[in-house]
Amino acid sequence: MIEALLSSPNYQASKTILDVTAERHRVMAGNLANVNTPGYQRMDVAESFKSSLQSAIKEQDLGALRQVGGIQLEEVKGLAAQSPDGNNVNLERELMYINQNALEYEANAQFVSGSIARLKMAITGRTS
Amino acid sequence: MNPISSAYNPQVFSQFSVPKQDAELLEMGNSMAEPFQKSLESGIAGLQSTHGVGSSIRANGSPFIDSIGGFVKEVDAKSKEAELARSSILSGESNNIHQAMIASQEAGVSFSLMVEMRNKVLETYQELMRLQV
Amino acid sequence: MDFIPGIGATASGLDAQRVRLEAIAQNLANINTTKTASGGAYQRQVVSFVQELDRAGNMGVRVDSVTSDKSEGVSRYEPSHPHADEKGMLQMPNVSLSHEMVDMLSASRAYEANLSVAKTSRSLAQKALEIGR
Repeated sequence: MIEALLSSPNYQASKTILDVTAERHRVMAGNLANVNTPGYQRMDVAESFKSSLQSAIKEQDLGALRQVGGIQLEEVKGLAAQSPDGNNVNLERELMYINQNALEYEANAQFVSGSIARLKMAITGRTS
Repeated sequence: MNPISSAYNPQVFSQFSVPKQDAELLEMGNSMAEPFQKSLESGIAGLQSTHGVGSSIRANGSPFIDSIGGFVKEVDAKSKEAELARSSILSGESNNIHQAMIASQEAGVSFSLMVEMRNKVLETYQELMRLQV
Repeated sequence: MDFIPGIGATASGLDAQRVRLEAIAQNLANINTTKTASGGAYQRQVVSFVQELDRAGNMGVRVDSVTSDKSEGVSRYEPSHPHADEKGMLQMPNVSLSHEMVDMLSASRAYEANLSVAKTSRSLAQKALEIGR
């Protein structure tokens, strides 16, 4: 019975997205720390992982969301070098990505909180 | 062909075999009602027994009690999950605080659901007792 | 493991940029130092960075070495100067003001960016703690 209440695909998707955005934040913090390291290549969550997660969410596929597994990271290809030493991290752009990602994290934390709060309200009949 | 006469033609009607369909419907309805009937009967029998409510209901295998048992197991599993997440945070093995928070909130919600159900069942029982007297 | 995500990498970034700023400050302070303890004019200090994976799995940065730039600075004719050589030429340090200022701007931008990330990381962790409340 509990599993049925907590098995909404969007709820599970939010939980997974929390994991992904937290990992992505960690990786991008590493990118920014290395903004002046010669030859450093920017890293991010793998495109294949991102797209498979997106399609699972779009199709509201609960099974696929549950089986998401390890988050793959990769060196992003095709970025222009930002300095003569081959470093391809753009400081302003990286900061922008970090801030956008942080908002995504907070939004999903809010979604999850909302679902739990609604469940509590439905069970106890009290609004807090 | 006159459309009205064909509609009221008993031969055309018999194609749909109306009497047979009625019987089938009746049979379907009966088969659906059967499990409900059975659980109701066993539940009532359990309540009427004088050997103590708990043991007799267990002996009769009331589906209601079975589902309660399953539910308690689920709540237990959720709270174990929460404890596991909490201990992995404490031991430093994991830094996934959001999942630990979610697990503990889910366990709390499951638990409070169980408590509310218990309250409702108790309320209903007390009301029943009052009715009989 | 860090509860605040990526704080290991951010801290290493702050540290590395600070070392870089210190080297720049030293270079600027010695822009006219024509004689050092080891003989000749002051040699510009160069900080080199290298990426390093820390124990928590964060990709941080480390100062690999602080070396002297061996290139020759400007040499100008100033026979009245006490450090001028027999030909009256004075060897100046190989520190260029404009170069050091640009470097300083880059280092302080990077430092502030890492600082801003540290604030963001902390607010993420606090948001996670507020789940369900």
